[in-house]
Parts: sequence; structure tokens; C-alpha cells
Amino acid sequence: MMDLKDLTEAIKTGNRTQATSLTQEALDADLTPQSILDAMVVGMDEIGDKFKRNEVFVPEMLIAARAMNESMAILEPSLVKSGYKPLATAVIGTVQGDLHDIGKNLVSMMWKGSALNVIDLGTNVTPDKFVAAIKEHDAKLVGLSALLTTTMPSMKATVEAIKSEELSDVKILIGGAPVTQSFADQIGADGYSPDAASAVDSAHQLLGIR
Amino acid sequence: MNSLEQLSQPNISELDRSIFRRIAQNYLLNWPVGICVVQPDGQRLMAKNWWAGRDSVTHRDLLAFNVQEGLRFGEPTVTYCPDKRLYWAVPIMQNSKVLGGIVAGTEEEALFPSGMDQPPLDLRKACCELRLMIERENLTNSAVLEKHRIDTERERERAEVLHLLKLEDLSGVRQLYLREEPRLLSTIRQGDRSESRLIINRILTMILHHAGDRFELVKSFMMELVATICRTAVEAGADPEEMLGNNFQSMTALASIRSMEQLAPWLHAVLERTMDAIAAHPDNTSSMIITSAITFMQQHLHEPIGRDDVAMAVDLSPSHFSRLFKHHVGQGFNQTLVRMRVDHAAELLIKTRMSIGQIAHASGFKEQGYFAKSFHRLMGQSPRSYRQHQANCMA
Ligand code: B12
Repeated sequence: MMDLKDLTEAIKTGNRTQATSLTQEALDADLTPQSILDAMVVGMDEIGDKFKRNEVFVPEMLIAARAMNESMAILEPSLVKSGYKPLATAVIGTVQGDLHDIGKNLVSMMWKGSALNVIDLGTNVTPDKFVAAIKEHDAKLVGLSALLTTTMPSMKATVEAIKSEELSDVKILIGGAPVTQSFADQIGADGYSPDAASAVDSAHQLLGIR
Repeated sequence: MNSLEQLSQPNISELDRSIFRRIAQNYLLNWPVGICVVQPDGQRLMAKNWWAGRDSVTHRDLLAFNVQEGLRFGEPTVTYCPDKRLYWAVPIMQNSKVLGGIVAGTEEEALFPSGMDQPPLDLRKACCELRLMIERENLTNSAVLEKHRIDTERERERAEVLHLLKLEDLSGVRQLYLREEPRLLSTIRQGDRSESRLIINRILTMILHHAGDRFELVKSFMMELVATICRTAVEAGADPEEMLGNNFQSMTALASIRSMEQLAPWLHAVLERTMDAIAAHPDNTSSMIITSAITFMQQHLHEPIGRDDVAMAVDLSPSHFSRLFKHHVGQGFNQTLVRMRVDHAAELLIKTRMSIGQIAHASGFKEQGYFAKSFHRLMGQSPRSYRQHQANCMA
């Protein structure tokens, strides 16, 4: 039985080669993707705590984030079921002024795994870009992510931009560490989810699937 | 003065080469980096130790973005570029206008000069040094940058409260507020500015979080908070008239506040004014704390209290409390406590018919032997003969 603590450690120290090979090993050992993900998130949380205490700086967070994103990419195929006909298209992105993408990537992966066609716009996405992508792909769901308290206003601006376009019944789901249900109510988003797993349920609920 | 300030239409391409050379030279002495000057659109103008070749459009955008980030957070912040380089930048400014920026960059490999498991290059320091250098050359608006740094720090604290709030399911903002209020008042009394600021931020975040967009509700909370702060300040030794004036001024300012964004700076200004008013009478504050410590000791004399309990009761660290106590009372804490216990025992010896053992206990002495010894040392006779002697005198 392999120990996922090593994976947590590899993410924490930003050791990409080790993180990716441990992820592969864990998959080969038939561990559930969820438990593997959880081990990675623990690593990220720990680096976040260290940052808070001024023990590490941005570069350490950057390399940890990269190790995490690469390891997640290895997990993706086992999460994303192939052969399904997507039920709807969703657009997702991190709002303008914000570069954090791990949480958003996780949600995106989970959505792909639940029969959604996901268009990922990346980070630092302007309200205009969201609107354009919704139109272009006829998306029925938009996911907005914000990790900084200072980019929560961009989230509001994006919701306003989408609403003002009167795009036919596109639902907006928001998330990210500083985001709450009451903030979602405040800015008129259709929903909020605290994590990637519940983001799937919320998406299905909003889209009326199941 | 820098050469830019004499121009009517300031332009970064006029930046004196010799100034840039000086900055670059000094910076490169300490850090294994490349450094360049860019226009607001990211176009490179002058460079030293920079990578060869022209920058692509995305690259230019990235450099421009970096300058913006340096302005936004008030301190250069490191961003990662897909070409495996890390960049950080300081805006070049005249008043509030951004004329461009100075960007530093390094290869990812340079980050860990002695291996992945060794501590990386101290880029936090590198960022800070770059800013200081550019500030020294008077090429940027230090005041604006400083304000942004303070805002960033405040937001960071706010984020942390939000994270905590999400973990804890607490209902009712009033309850939350009541939990924080005593802490705030005690840090104000002690003149602990930074802790007070933190708590104010927590309270603000909580109130905003729960009150949502019901702005009038938020305002009513604020009025209550300011009134309590003023009262506390007067208790802590601030001049009542001055505080009345402060209070009036704060309320007038509050009336004209229209948005949540203006609230935080306003409340912080209130706090600073209050702290200043208290600081103008420093001795009052601490003597008040010591008075309440002594009251606490009197009320708990029969219990086995020690220095740490009393320090905790008045919200001071034990060591700070000891120092303050000695300063105001003139003798150490333990000495004073024994003195108070003995005085109490002496009173009981005269006024009651309790046994010596009971009195020792009621005065907080765990051992009768220690009681007898302490009593004798301070009163010059044993408890028994003291009782006898006093009775004789009365008769
Ligand atoms: C990694 C990290 C970075 C990395 C990001 C790399 C990357 N590729 O993402 C880098 C180094 C770039 C970075 C930069 C900065 N960061 Co940073 N960062 C973090 C850190 C440590 C972890 C974030 C993370 O990935 N968590 C793991 C994921 C899985 O969790 P998550 O993002 O919360 O996502 C989950 C849920 O929120 C939800 N969710 C997220 N998005 C969405 C979207 C939808 C639609 C839904 C439904 C759900 C959902 O589901 C996810 C999965 O369960 C956090 C600390 C923390 N604990 O959050 C700080 C933190 C967010 N950063 C912070 C700061 C201050 C910064 C910088 C300003 C630092 C600086 N001085 O340079 C810059 C800002 C850059 C910018 N303009 O954005 C602060 C934010 C303070 C604030 N004001 O809000 C934090 C909180 C750290 C701290 N305590 O100070 N950071």
C-alpha cells in the first residue's frame, strides 16, 4: 500500500518529477482519484499556511502549483469518462486580475467527468471574454473563480456583464476561497459551491440534469 | 529630483541612462538577474544582462502586466512566464501617472542555486530591494506604493477571516461582534495598535459578510462601535473633551460615507485618532490596568492565583505585566500578593473567631507553615500572638 504522504510532500516542495510519478503510481495502485486529489490539496494548503506565516514566498507557491497542475493532468483521464455525449457546454475561468487557477482546474476536471463539455478560458479573464465565449459556444453554465478578496469585485462585474446581455438562460456558478453563499446572493449569481465535488452537484441542479 | 520631473510631458524614454545604469549595476551586484526599463505597454527601452532577441507580443504584455501588479500590490510580485523565467517589477511614476516600469527577471534554474532541496533565492528580499532602490532615485510614487502595500496586507487579513468564517458556522452577527468587542476594547486600553487594527478588520469583515448590502444596518453597527471605542478611550485616560470632539467628527464623516469601500479607511482613521488620544496620557492607561489587576487580586485572594492568572485577567503578557506592576507599585508581584494575603489574614484575625488554619486557607495560603512564616516576617509576630495583642489593645 503506497503512502500518499509522499505525494503531499512532493507537491509541497514543488518536486514535479516526483509528484507526477507518485500520482501515476497511486493510480496504478488503484487508489481513488479523489483520495489522490485530497493528498495534493493538503500539500497546497500547507504551503498556503507557510506563506501566511512568511515562511515561503511566491516562487515556492508557484512551483508547488505547477507540480499540482501537472499531477492533476495525469489524473484527468481517469476522471473524465470518455464516450459520453456531453449534456451541455460550460465555460469556466478565473476572473480578471486573478492568476490562481488550481481550484478552477479542479472544478473544470470534475465537470468534464460529469458529462459536461468544458471550455476553459484560463486566468485573468475579462468580463467581455466570458460573454464572448458564452455566445460562441452557446454555453448553459458559467463557472467563475476568484481567490483574492480584491478580485471579488471583478466577479461582480462579470456577473453584471453576463446578465446585461440577456443570454438565454445561462446559469452562473461561483467559487473560490474568499467567496461565500451570501456573496453569491449579493451579486446575483445563481449558485455557489464550496468545493469541486459539490460544484458537480450544483451544476447538474442548475442545468436540471437528473 | 529625477530628470523626469523637469519635463512638462513626462515620458519614460527621457529617463536618464546614467540613472538606469546606476540602478542596474547596484542591483546586479546582489542578484543573478536581468533588468530592463519598459514602457507602459511592455516595450523594452534599456536593458542590462537581458536575454537576447526581440520580445514577442505576449511577452510584452506580460512585462506590462508585471508593472501593473507591482503598482497594485505596492511591492513587486513575482510572476511566472511560460518561457521558464520569473519576473518582478516596480512602476516608474510621476504623481499618479505610470510612465512605465523597471522589470527584473531570472531563469527558473537560478532560483535554486544549490539544489531543489536547498532554500531558494530570497526573492522577497530581491523584490523589496528593487523597490527601495527605485524609491531612493525618486522614480516612483512611494506614498502610493505604501498605501497599496497596506491595503494588500489588510485584504490578506480579511481573506483569512473569510476562510475562518467559512470553516466555522456561526450564526448571528451580533454574537460574533460581542465576542470580538471585549478583545478590541482591551487592546485599545493597552495601546496595542497593531492588534487593535487586526481586530477592527475582523469585525469589519464579519459585519460586511453578514449584513450583505444592507448598508444602513452596517452604519448602525459602526455608530455603536465608535461610541464604545470612545467610552473606552476615556476610561483609559484620554481627555473626555477631546474624545467628544473626535466622536462628533467621526459621526459627521460617517454620514457622508456611501459605500462599503470607504468604511474601512474611515474606521481605521477613527482608531488611529483614538489611540493618539490615549497615547497622550500614557501613565493613566497603565495605572488603570494595574488598579484593575489589584482589584482582581483582592477579589481572588482566597484562591491560589499567581502572576499568570492576573496577567491574563488584564490581558497582558506575563512578562509585560510584571514590569508594569513593579513600575507602578514599587515592589514585585509576588511580594505584593503575599503582603495582601497577610493583610487580609490580619483583618480576619481581629474581626472573626475563625481558627488560624481557616484564616490561612481563606487568605489563599495553601500551607499553614508558610502562612505562619510569611505572617511573622511581615508583622513581626506570629498570628496567634498578633490576635492576642490586638484583643488586649482593644480591651
Ligand atoms: C497557490 C497560491 C498562489 C499561486 C497560484 C498558482 C496557480 N497556478 O494557481 C501564485 C504564486 C501565483 C499566487 C500569487 C498570489 N497570491 Co496566492 N495563494 C495560493 C494559495 C497558497 C493556494 C491556492 C490554491 O490553489 N488552493 C488549492 C485549491 C484546490 O483550492 P481553491 O483554490 O480554494 O479551490 C477550491 C474551492 O475554492 C472551489 N473553487 C475554486 N474556484 C471555483 C470556481 C467555481 C465555479 C466553483 C464552483 C468552485 C471553485 O473549489 C476548489 C476545489 O475544491 C492560497 C492560500 C489558500 N489557502 O487559498 C494563496 C492566496 C490565495 N494568495 C494570496 C496572495 C496575497 C497572493 C499574491 C497577491 C501574493 C503576492 N504578493 O504576490 C499573488 C496574487 C497574484 C494574482 N494577481 O492573482 C492570498 C490572498 C489574500 C487576499 N487578498 O485574498 C492567499 C489567501 C494566501 C494568504 N493567506 O495570504 N498564489
